[in-house]
Amino acid sequence: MNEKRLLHRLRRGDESVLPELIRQYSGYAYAIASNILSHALGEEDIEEVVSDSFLSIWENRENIETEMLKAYLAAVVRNKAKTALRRHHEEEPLGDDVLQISIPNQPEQKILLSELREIAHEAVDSLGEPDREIFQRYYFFYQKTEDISKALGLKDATVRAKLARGRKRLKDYLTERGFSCEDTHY
Amino acid sequence: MKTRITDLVQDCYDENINIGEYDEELAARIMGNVQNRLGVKNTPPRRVRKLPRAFLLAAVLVLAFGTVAFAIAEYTLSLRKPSADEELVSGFRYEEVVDGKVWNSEILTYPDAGMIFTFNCPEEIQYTPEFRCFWLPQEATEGITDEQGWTKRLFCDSGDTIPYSISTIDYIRDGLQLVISGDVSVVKEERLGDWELLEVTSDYSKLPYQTYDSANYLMLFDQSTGYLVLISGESDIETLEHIAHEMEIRESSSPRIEYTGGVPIGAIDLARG
Repeated sequence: MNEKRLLHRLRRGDESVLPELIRQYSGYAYAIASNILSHALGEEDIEEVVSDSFLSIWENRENIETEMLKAYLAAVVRNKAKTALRRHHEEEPLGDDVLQISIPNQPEQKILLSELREIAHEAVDSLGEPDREIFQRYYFFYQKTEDISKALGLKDATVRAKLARGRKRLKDYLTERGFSCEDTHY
Repeated sequence: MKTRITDLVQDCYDENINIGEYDEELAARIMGNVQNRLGVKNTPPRRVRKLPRAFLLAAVLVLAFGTVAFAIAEYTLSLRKPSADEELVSGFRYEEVVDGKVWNSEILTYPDAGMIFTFNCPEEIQYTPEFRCFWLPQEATEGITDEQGWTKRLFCDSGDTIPYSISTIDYIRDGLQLVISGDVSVVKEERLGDWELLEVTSDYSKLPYQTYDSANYLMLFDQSTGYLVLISGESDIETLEHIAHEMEIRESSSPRIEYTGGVPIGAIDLARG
């Protein structure tokens, strides 16, 4: 069943849509959760996060504003997985994930983050293929470089090189718009 | 400030990137977990439930203007009375001679159409519904059910009358028009669980070729899927309602039937379409 119809039935509170949602997207949701959590938590905890995500979607069905159900699910799983990590006092998995950004002035942080996300979106969109997909697989879906290389039929070193190129593009975009940034660690 | 690239790219979603694979056991475990949290052991198939009686707006509008939109969601079923000079044609044959006039031409006209139901499908329907009944006024004389009672058609011919006929309409496509002949009027429109229930009755007494005087029709229509289940019969409308209230409908694994006729019009009159 397509996404639009699932969403329509979900919003109406049609109970029979839940098994359908889970059948269609549980593998996808589990993969995202596992990418984020497998270094720190076991399978049962990961499944718990996935179940939590579907439950959250069901309980908040009336407030879903997007028409992209799969994207919404991915965002919910990411957030739930990150919360689970914090609850277990564990770090997020990626080692090259953190940027130190110098802020030219001090607007409200929420507005600033929103602006940074827009710039990041532009930067990612400006990448050619397969660089864009690699960047998204790594930083959005938290896929490991060896998994990305398998999925796309590339060498692991190639994937790493393209990721480095993507990070540089992101930093360039931010710098051009008045933010200077450097790689760092939490 | 320190920020994570993963947070910065949280809006960079590409739906064409597929990760993960379907795992039946995983899906079952997740489903079980979710159901436990919801406090249910099994999520039942959609069951038609009786809800408070809704409005008679459609009936009023049909009487007043001759046309009304029955549903306003993705898939719609609208009904209208044909205008006096409208010529309707169908791929169905009907052989009858009335007052010397032959009614079995290659393309049958419907000068006797009393109501036309038109479907609007924003996208092609892929599968078809099936149903099972927990109550029937008497046993069906035609129709095969599986072990759990699921079927797509049940028909009852008592010899003198046709108490009921229940069937799924599996050839719905965009623009399809279904006709009920005779003097047709809307009795009731209401919501029944996830379904829109439309009840109409037709008086055939003025038509020369029908073998029964009147028949009742209950149409159960799902706006989100375009599925239609038709309950019709010579039984009174309360009996047909009872059937509707005690039936369960779900999506079957059978694909939609391709309609091969050139003109997407068909009759759903009892024992005729």
